[in-house]
Amino acid sequence: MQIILPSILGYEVIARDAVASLARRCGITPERVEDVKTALCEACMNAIEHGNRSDPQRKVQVLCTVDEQRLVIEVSDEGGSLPMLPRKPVQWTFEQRASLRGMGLMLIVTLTDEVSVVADPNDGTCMRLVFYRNLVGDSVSAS
Amino acid sequence: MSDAEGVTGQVIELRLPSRLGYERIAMDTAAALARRMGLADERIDALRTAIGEAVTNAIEHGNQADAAMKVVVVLTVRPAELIICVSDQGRRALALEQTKTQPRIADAFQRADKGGWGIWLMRELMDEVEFTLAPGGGNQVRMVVHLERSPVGDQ
Repeated sequence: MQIILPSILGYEVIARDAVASLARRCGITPERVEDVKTALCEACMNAIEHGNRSDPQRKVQVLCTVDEQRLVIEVSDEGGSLPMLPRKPVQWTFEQRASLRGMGLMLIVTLTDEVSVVADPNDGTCMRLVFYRNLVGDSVSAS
Repeated sequence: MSDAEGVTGQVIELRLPSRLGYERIAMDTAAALARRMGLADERIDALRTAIGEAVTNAIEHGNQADAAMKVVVVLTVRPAELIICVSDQGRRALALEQTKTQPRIADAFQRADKGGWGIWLMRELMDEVEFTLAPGGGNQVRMVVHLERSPVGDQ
C-alpha cells in the first residue's frame, strides 16, 4: 500500500490514520499502534519541512509493506539532506536544547523496533521504520 | 490545511493491492480527511459506504481480486468539495448500462449473494457520481461530495 501526500503540514495526519488502519489490521497491539502513529507523523513532518522544504509541489511518499514478522513503513521525500539518527537507546538531553527536529528523530528511534535512513535513487531521502508484528509464539517483547 | 488550498486542489493518492480488506483502509483514510474538512458525521458515514463499495467493486470486478493489480484512490480537496476517484486496472470492463440500473428488492431475494446494490448506493449517497475509463484503460468512478455550510453549525 502506498500513500502520496502534498508537502503541506496537516496532511501527515491523513497518512497517520491510513497507516493506523492498516497496522490495526495486521496484529499490532492498540498501544503499539499509537507508537506507529507518532513515529510516522514525525517522519512525515520531517519529510515535509526539511526534505521538501514545505514546497507543495513536492510529494511525500509513504510505502507500507507487511510480511510475516514486520510492518515496514518507508517515508520518502524529494530532498537530499540525510538526517543523522541518534543511536538506541536514545539519551534524552534536554539541557542541550536539542532542536525540534532532533527531538522528532529521538522519538522515532525510541518508538520503532528498527529505523534507518537511506538516500533515495531519485535524489530524495527515505526513512525506513520497522515495527514487529505481535504474532502468537513471538519471542519478541512488544515493549 | 484550509489556507493552502488552491483552485486545483490538494491531492492525496492511495494505491492499494486488490485484496479484500483494503477497502477498509480507503474508507478510514477518506473519513479522516472528511472529518478534517468539517463534514457532518452522517455525510462521513455516507462517504465511507460509497468509497467502500467503489473500492470493493474495483478489487472484485475490475481487477478480479488479483492482488498484484492496484486500485488507485485519488482524493482531491477543494474549498467547496471533496472529489474521490477510484480506478482499477480493468481486467474486466464495467458495462456502462450496468451503472444506470435500479436494483429491485424482489430480485435480491433470488440472488445467492448480497451484491448488486453498490452502484445504486453510490448514486444515492454522493452528490455526483460518474463512471468513465481510467487513463490507463481501467474502470474509473468519480464521486463528489459538496461541502455545505450549515447556518446553525452542526458540530
